[in-house]
Amino acid sequence: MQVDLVGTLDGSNLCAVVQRFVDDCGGVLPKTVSLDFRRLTFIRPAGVTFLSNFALWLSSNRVDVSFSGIENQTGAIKYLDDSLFFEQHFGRKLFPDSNPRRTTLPLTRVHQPKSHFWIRTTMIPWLSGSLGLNHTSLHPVQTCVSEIFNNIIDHSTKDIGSVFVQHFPNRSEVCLSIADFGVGIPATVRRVVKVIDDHDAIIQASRDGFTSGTTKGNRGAGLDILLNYVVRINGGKIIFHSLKGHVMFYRVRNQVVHRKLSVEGFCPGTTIDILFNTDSIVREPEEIGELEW
Amino acid sequence: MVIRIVDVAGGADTADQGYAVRHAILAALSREDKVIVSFDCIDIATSSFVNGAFVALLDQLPFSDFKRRVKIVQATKQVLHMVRTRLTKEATQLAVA
Repeated sequence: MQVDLVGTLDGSNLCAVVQRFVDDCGGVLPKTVSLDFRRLTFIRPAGVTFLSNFALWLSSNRVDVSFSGIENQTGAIKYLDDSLFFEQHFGRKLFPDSNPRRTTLPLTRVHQPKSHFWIRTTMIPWLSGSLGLNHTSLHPVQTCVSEIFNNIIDHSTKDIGSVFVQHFPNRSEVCLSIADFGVGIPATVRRVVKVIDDHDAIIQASRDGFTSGTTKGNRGAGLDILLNYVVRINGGKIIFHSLKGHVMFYRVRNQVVHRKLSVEGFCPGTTIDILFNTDSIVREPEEIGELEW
Repeated sequence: MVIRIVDVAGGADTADQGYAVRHAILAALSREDKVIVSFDCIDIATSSFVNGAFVALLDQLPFSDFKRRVKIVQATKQVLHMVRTRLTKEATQLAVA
C-alpha cells in the first residue's frame, strides 16, 4: 500500500494521513507500505518526529516500510536527509552532501535506559551552545525532557523515544518534538478512568496528582511539572497527539489553559511537541546550597 | 553520616535510583539521629527520583521528623526546588487525608 505525503506536513495533518491509512486498511495492516515523498513540499520539526514514529510503529507491527519519490533533492527531502531521517530509517543518507544543520539536533532514537545520559551529554550541551546559555540556566528544560522519558518507560510498552530539536533564532523559539509508539496516553488513563474520550484522557493525565498507578511510587507529577515550566513560567506551548486525542496547552494570564484541537486523525502512541520561548529562559549562575525549610 | 547520591545511586533521574537512596537513608537513620544527603556532582533531580528517595519516606517518618533529621546539602537550585515542592505538596496531602 502506498501512503502519499502531500504538501506541508506537521503533527496535526499527519494524524489525518495516518487515520486515512488506518481506514483504508480496514482493520488489517498490509504486509508492505511505501511512504511516497514525491509531492511533499515542506515538513515541520513536529512532522519529522511524527513521521519517524509512524514508520517505527509500522515496523513494530511487522509491516515492511519502504520509501518512494526520494530521488530528487527537493527542499523538503533535503531537510529530512540533513535531519538524518533517512539514515535512521534507511541505514544511510540519500545525498553525500547532507549534514545536520547548525540549528537542528538531528533525529535520534533514544533508548530509555540511556535517555538521561543522552539528555545530559548531547541535548543540553547542544542547546547550551545554540542559545549561548550555561547548563544551569537549562536545568528546567533538562528536567522537563527527563520527566517525559520517565513517562515513556513508566507508561509505554516500548522503551524507545524519537527526538528532534530545532532552534529558530529569528523567532526566539526552540521546537523539541518527542514521540513514542507505545499504547498512548488515553489507553493508560483508561486503566483508571474507564469511560473517557481520548482528548479528555490527555487533559486528565496532565492534572497534578493523577496517576494511572502503572509504576509503584508514582505520584502523577511528571506532566504537571512539564506544563508548569514550559507553559506557565516560560510562556511556551505544548501539543499532545495521542491516539485520537489532540490537545494544546498554552498560557493565558499566567495560567495554563488547554484547547482540544480540531484535528481528525490518529497518532500511534504519543507525540509531544514542545515550543520553548528562548527569551524567557532565565540566565542562572551556578550556585550550590542546602535545603532550608 | 553523609550519604552521597552519586555514590549510592549514580544520579537522581529515576525512581529506582530514588529507592536506592531511600534504603540508604533508612539504614542510616536506624543508627543515627541525623543524616546528611549530599547532591554534589548531581545537576538535576526528577520527580520520579524525589518520590522514590524522599516522598516515600513520609510513610515511615513524619514530615516534621524528616525536616529535623535529614539535611540536604550541595544541591543545585533545581534540585532544591524539586525536593521542597514535592515534599511540601505530598506532606500537605497526607495531613489532609
